[in-house]
Amino acid sequence: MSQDPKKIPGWLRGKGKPEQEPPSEPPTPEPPTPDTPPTADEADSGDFPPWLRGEQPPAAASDSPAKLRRLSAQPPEQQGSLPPWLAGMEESKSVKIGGTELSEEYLKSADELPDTLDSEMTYDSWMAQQLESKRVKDIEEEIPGDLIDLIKEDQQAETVVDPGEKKATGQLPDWFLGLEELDTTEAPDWFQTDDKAPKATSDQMPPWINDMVEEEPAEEAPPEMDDIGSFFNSIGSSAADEADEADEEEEAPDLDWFSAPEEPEQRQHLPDTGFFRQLVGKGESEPSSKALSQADTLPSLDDTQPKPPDQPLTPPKPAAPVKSQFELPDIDDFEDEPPEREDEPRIDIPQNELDAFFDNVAADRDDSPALSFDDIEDPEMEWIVPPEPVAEEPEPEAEPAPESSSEDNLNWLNELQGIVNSATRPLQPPQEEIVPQDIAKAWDAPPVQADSSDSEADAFAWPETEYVEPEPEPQQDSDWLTTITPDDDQPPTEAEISQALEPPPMPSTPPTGGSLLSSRLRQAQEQKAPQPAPEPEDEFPSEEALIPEDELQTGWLTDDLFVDEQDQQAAPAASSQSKPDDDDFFSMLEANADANLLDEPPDDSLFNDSTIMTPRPPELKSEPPAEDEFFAALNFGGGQEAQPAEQEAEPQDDQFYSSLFGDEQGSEQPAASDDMYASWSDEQPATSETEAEPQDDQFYASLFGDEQGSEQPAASDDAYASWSDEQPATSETEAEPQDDQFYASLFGDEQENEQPAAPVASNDALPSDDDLFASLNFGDDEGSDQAEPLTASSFENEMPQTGDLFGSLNFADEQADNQAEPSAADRDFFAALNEPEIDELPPAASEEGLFEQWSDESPAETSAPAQDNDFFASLNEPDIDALPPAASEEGMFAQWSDQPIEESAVPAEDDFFAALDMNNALEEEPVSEHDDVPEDFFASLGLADEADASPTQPVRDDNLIWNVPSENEVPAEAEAEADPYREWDAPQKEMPPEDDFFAALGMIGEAQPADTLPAADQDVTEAPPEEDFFKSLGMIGDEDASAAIRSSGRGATTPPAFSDVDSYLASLNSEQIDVTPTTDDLFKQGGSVDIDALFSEPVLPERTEKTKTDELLPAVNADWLAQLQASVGEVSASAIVRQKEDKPVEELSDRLKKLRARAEQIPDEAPAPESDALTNVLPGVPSSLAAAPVSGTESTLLQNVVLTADQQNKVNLLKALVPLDERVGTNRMSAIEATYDSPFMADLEDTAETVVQPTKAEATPKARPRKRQRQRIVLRPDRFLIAVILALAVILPFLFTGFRVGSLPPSSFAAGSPEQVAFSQLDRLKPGSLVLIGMEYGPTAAAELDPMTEAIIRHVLLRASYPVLISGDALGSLRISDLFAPINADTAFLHRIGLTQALAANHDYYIVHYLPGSVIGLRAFSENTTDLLLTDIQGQTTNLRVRSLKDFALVTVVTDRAETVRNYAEQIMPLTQAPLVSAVSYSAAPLAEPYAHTLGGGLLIGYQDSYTYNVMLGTANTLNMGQRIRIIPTDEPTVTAPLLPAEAQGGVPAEVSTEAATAEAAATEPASLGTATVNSTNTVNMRSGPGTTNAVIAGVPGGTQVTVISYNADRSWVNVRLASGVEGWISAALLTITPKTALTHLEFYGKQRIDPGEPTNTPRSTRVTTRAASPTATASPTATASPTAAATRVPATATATEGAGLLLAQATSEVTAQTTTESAPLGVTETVIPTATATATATATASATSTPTAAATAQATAFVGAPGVTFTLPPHSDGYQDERWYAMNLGIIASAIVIGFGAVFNVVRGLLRRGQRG
Amino acid sequence: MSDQIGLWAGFVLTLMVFSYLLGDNFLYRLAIYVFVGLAAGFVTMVTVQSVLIPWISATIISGGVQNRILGVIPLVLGLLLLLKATARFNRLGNLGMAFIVGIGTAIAMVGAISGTLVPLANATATTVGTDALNGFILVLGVVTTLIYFQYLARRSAGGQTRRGLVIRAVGAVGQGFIVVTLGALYGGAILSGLVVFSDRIAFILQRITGG
Repeated sequence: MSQDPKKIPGWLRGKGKPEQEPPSEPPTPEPPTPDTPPTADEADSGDFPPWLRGEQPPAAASDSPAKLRRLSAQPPEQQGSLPPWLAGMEESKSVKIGGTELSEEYLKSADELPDTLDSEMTYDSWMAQQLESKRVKDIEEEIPGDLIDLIKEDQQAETVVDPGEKKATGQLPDWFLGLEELDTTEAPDWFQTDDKAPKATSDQMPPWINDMVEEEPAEEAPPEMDDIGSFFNSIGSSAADEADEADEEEEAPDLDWFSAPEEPEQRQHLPDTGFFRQLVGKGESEPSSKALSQADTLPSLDDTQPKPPDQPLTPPKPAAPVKSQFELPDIDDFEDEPPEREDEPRIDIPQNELDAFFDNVAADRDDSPALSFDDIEDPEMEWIVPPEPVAEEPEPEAEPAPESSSEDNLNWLNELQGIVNSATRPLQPPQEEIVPQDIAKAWDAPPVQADSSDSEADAFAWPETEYVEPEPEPQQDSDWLTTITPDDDQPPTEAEISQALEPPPMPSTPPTGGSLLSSRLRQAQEQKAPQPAPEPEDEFPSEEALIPEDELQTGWLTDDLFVDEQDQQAAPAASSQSKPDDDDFFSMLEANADANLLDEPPDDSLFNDSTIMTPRPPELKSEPPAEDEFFAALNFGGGQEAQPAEQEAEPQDDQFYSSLFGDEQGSEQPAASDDMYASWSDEQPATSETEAEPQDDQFYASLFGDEQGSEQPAASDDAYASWSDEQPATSETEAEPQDDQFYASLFGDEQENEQPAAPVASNDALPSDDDLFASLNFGDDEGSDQAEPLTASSFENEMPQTGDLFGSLNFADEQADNQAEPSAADRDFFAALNEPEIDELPPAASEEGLFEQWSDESPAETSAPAQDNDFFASLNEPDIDALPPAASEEGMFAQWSDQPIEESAVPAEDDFFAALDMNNALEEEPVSEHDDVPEDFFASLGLADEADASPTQPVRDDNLIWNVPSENEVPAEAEAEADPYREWDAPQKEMPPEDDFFAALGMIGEAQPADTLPAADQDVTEAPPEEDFFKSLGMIGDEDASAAIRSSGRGATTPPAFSDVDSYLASLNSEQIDVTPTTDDLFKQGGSVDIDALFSEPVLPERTEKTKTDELLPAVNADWLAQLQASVGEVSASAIVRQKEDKPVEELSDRLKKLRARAEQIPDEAPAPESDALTNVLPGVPSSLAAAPVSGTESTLLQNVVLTADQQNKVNLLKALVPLDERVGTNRMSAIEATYDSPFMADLEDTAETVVQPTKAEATPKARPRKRQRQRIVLRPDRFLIAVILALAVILPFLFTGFRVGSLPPSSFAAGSPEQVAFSQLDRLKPGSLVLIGMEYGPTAAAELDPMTEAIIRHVLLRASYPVLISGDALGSLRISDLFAPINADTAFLHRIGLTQALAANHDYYIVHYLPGSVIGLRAFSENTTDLLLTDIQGQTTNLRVRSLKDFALVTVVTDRAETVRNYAEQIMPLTQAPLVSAVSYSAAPLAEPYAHTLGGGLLIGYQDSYTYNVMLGTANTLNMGQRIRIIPTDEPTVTAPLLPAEAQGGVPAEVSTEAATAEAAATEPASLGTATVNSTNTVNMRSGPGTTNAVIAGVPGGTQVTVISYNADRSWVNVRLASGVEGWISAALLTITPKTALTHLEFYGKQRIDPGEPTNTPRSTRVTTRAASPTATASPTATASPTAAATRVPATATATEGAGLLLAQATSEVTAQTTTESAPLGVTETVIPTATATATATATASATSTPTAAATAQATAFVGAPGVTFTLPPHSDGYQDERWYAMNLGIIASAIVIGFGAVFNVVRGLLRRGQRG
Repeated sequence: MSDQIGLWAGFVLTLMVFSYLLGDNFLYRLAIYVFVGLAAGFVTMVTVQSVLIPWISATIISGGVQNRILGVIPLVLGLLLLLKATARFNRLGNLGMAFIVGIGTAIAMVGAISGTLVPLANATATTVGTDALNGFILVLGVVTTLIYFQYLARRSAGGQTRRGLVIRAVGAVGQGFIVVTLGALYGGAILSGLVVFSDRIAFILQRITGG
């Protein structure tokens, strides 16, 4: 296999191998000489800034733009070509990277990339298009002048170091890579440039890579490998093109790879699931990829020798600055890391000046012992390959290291260059990425079903549904990974490794054993690790079992990749099993991924954690090609089942990663140890507690020269520690998570060392291995809800501790104290990024290399060699496996980033994190929805939660929210494009794809206060380069950096509790918004751009200052905002604020405490005015929730209305009537204020101007018990005068006859008058008729209407009729009975009607019912008359049998309301034929009169008519009173018999005859009241009369039906008639009576009733006779002589006599008349009642000759005794009837006078006023 | 004796009411309160005794199932009306009120047509034939009054509305009828008041004189 070594970074190809650059002599970096301008050659050498350019800049890189533009024009046949370094293309000599030239063919091969993926466009082609579409920014535009200067300085320095060597692009300086800091003492052998390292090819490609590549000739590559080939070609070409850019302007980093594809159709052709399959195959078969060196091909898995690291990692000498080498980030640099880093004196960071940084780096290197790369131990491969499986199964012999090619370096350096360029490139308007639907779906893969057992597992769960174990593809040649079996985990021997590394034939059978890689790593780790994993296979016993046998044989790979010499030797067996070619390599990875990811729980917070990791795209699941598997392996855990997060120590998912990056846990856990990722980032707390097993990290430690490693025995051998960990991680604790050592070493995370156990306690569920991706923030599968806690745990616990990738990158580490701070949990990856964790940075510049690789914003961005791009480009590459083992550092990232890009159609140029976003939450949402944020950095990172991923909410998770505060701080730069930070500012702002990662980092740096960064390295001085570096990146302020570093000890600073509202509000201070992007200004400066100033200058000075006060904690802000956001629509903002206020007092800030105290002191409830306090609390809220304005003044409307004079008067009148309350509207509480307990809310600032004083005065006084005011009688003279006048007018007629004006009412009604009609209606009543009288008035009208009612009743009684009284007035009903009192007391009247005793209720009259409901009651009565008349007002039975209203002969209503008359007319009268007689008061007369006329019943009005009526009654035609009988049968057996006793009738035979005739008529037509049935079973007795005392006349059997004739009085006996005609009495209890229907009242009582007939013809009864006897008394005129005596009597007696005489005189006359007419038998005088006689006597006396004289005398006598008063009380009529009349008359006169006078007065007054006006 | 007590109580209360001539005072209020209280008590008593008890006895107690059901319904509605006094359940009383108002309105409507409009119209028409003068006056009064209460008018340019001359003239006649009617009512009110006042005076004098 011929591999193009150019495709492999030089440092991987052995460029920096010890052979060329002895590791013992690290490059001595020379401080850049700023004054030295770059030479023309340097300027033209490439895209990379001169200061980043290596010694051997590839010449071919200068024409990268052109080549990039040609990428899209690549012929389809070129598709699928492997990357040059993978396809085995011959190295091109035109471009030299790391001492290796890149061939033009290779560079041109990128042009052959396909445009589209009609035949499945590859990622590289797509990326190439993107690159082509992007114009490379001018350096002037991208990099500040300072940076240019710096670049120049670097160039000059390099020139000085190696003046003869032309700097080539694609090379990262050693300091950039931090390789010079590597502690080579502990580095693996292969890592060092020792003899053990396999001989690299001419390109210094690791042998195993070369072998692999070589064994895979391009011809063998399947055609689909064109993609990968084009991909790498494009990378290489682009890098070369960029390197060829002679124009310094072209050095500006191209952010194209960050940007989204411009054309959707291109995205549609994004690599699908078959991409990787093609990637594997194409690379081999790529014919055009001749430029691909063997080193570029996939490394041979059988290579047990740590060739890849060895060759490329030839580090510069520790003392020698990297700049001197400046070729590539060779491993050599790593080797140079002095072991005793911490012993070095602290280097003061000079304000983030890059030059100072470099100087420091150089000084550091000089000071640090120069360790050759060879001294570095080979990385412990246990973290890659599980030891056991490796040991068990021999790995296939790794092929000899392929020829390393500088093109490889060029590739990834190009990528890195892109990143760097993007960092400095002026922001371009975000280009919306229109992601095809399929891709969107891929990104929108639903989250994996979380394990219900563990809630946190949900967060870590991968879309298991999405990711299924891929089906083995038969045609897939690259599935050799699937052949990896657990047996491969056995440490492979060198032979095995070498065998494995040998690329199998293209259609080679993939080796079995999916976990071989991890097993190898594990094995190596175990070998290195003194202590085995605390959780051995027991916890994952099923790993091998679950993993298919054919998939568990990948151990060789890891060995090849990372296993050091020792490991290589130990794991040859595994590698020997198979020699997978490139395809096999990927397939192995896939298989490994399958085995690991599918079978193991996603404990890893790395990928599952929080929202960082985005789940695997769903399409990948459905499409099980190797690519999918690869992603599954990369995984980012995408295919993982919901796995309990509790299995922190078993991140089996992460095996791949752990294996890649040396998971320590992997060593501890056989299954988990395989995780490559874990090795990268695993900060596993569990492992931290356990014995440190830095074996995994050894590789990186060695790579980056961890200073700590020298001090720490365990970490010393840790490659990671050697890399960057300057922290004596193990010094403080042995339990430091070794997994994190990689990152810790990479970036020197001190915190992890300091707080190893903290994460464990707080975040148990977080797998340590996942830290990397957790830090990478790949997004969480779960929703944002779940993401919070997870992110919290991930970032709080893991980030700071493990110093995860970005935490370390970062350029800042999360404070470990945040672990206990739930709010701090939101700190995301970016928080870590922002944190200027310089302390944690590797002291030497050795870490720089990584930083550069990881972040383009590093200084290398400007001068980063094209190979830098390869790094990130390779990150984007889906195939990590494709990376050379030695280049795993680069390739891993490259591979990572590659996946998402392909899957999400994000252009390869898109930011690294976008590529990393495997688990992007956008799965569920089509990317199209995120047009605004398609290339959002965070979205791509997966920061955004799926649910949150929306265009409107770019901040989709807490991580993003974390950046919210920065929004305010974001400078409102008009020129946003040029502002790299702007894109990061607002969460609402969608992060454009073009967003510069580093720009974002800068923003994050802004948002992230330096002081809040907790984990500051104790040895600040040890990390000056990093500090400078980050300062230069602008992540931290100059002043803040050192301050933060010094002040923020590890865990010393606790993040301010920002959960309180005031802190938040303080953070919301708008004053801090005025942050302007300094970079923008710098960009405008023109040619001289000071990059140092750019990055060192605090972007947000105020914010930084604010953070010093610990008032800003973005995470808390994010939390707060998240809460607030979540509360939208549910909880009001005020409630949230109040909730904040409800916190314990102790937790409140002083400010709130003060406020609270004040509020408590103010019991007043007075509304607080609209103060500014509320505005301060919730800006904007008061205005939006302003209280309803209640104006107490004139409304503005009134002012705008033109009113006429009349209208104005009316308005004034209204104002007068409705006084305005001036208090209304003042100090009215708003809704927010109302939410507080105390409406009075003092200003938070306590300023005198704003403090709101209690408004007690304004408040409405409390309702006190009103003091009873003395009621003063306000005597108004006019009213009093009028009242007096009227009173006198009424009273005087009673007292003085002289005031009796007028005449009494007439004695009779005028003919034809309504009154006469009414009287006639009554007078025509027949005896026995029922008259309905409605007494519809109350006591108030009694004085006027009672006489009327009484007169009507009397009249009815006189007509022998029966009044039935009803009332709709309850009081009227009560008073009805009172009306009969005077009647009953009027014995004369009773005598007149033939009664000797008082009238009996329900006998002589009926007071039946109270009709409630007014009209309703009347209607009910009219409708249901019978029922309502059954009982009287007292509930007694009335015995009335009324069928309907028609039974009433007359209807009369007496009322004082005309409405009542109307009701009767409307409700009663329509149902009866009887006339309606209305008797109304004066007040009701006008309105009642029409009805009287209409209904024809007549109308009686007021007192006058009543007076007349009563007079008329005296002369009315009295019915034959003697005929009046009790309507209720008496107890007598017969009614008629007693009435007409022969002895009583005497000489009245006619009467007898009449009665007899009636009896006979009754006999012939016996009246029947109904029928009855004997209800007894026995025979009942029929008696002759009611009562048992009567004789039994017959026996009636039970059931016999009889006819009811009559009843006795109490109706206890029934007079019945048998069918035989026999009549008798039967007890009613023995009968069941069926009343006769339609029985009329008269019929009911008819038999007992004697038709009165004509009065003159009616026979007289006994009573008549008795009454007739009374005239005998009249015959006592003798008594009339009494007047004289009366005159002499006392007035009382005389009055009584006179009164009696008045009435009886009339009676006498009547009797006389009757006697005259009827010739009453005077002989019957014995029946005269004695009292009557006496009365008669008195009557005679009075009536006879009552003379006025006598009366006058009597009166005079009566009042003689009164002193001083000598007036005579005029004789008055009964009840002062006459006097009342006179009084009324006089009152009318007085009223008229008063009214007239008043009218005249008013007129006069009006005239006077008018006269006055006139 | 009881009558005498009642009469004297009435006498005193009457004087207390008359004290209002001097202004609002306690005596007047006391008398009014007594009257109102007694009235309320009487109404309650009458309602219970005259309405509820007969209804219950006729339906719930002695009636059949149907009668009992029918007897309960109005009682329930009545109880709901009592809830109107409570702020919490006052709305429940709306049901009963709905029945009352609805039925009352319906009844009033029906009664107005059958008992007022038609008879009055007939009477008016009849009167015109029999008594030309009265009929003319009656019709004139009705028509003019109705015309008076119509307010349709044109709006002038100045925004003012002014009815036509004929309408205004006829309306003035109607207004005259209205004035006479209102005057009659007012006069009748005065007469009623005088009658009542005279009755009270007579009552007082009767008490004074021992009548």
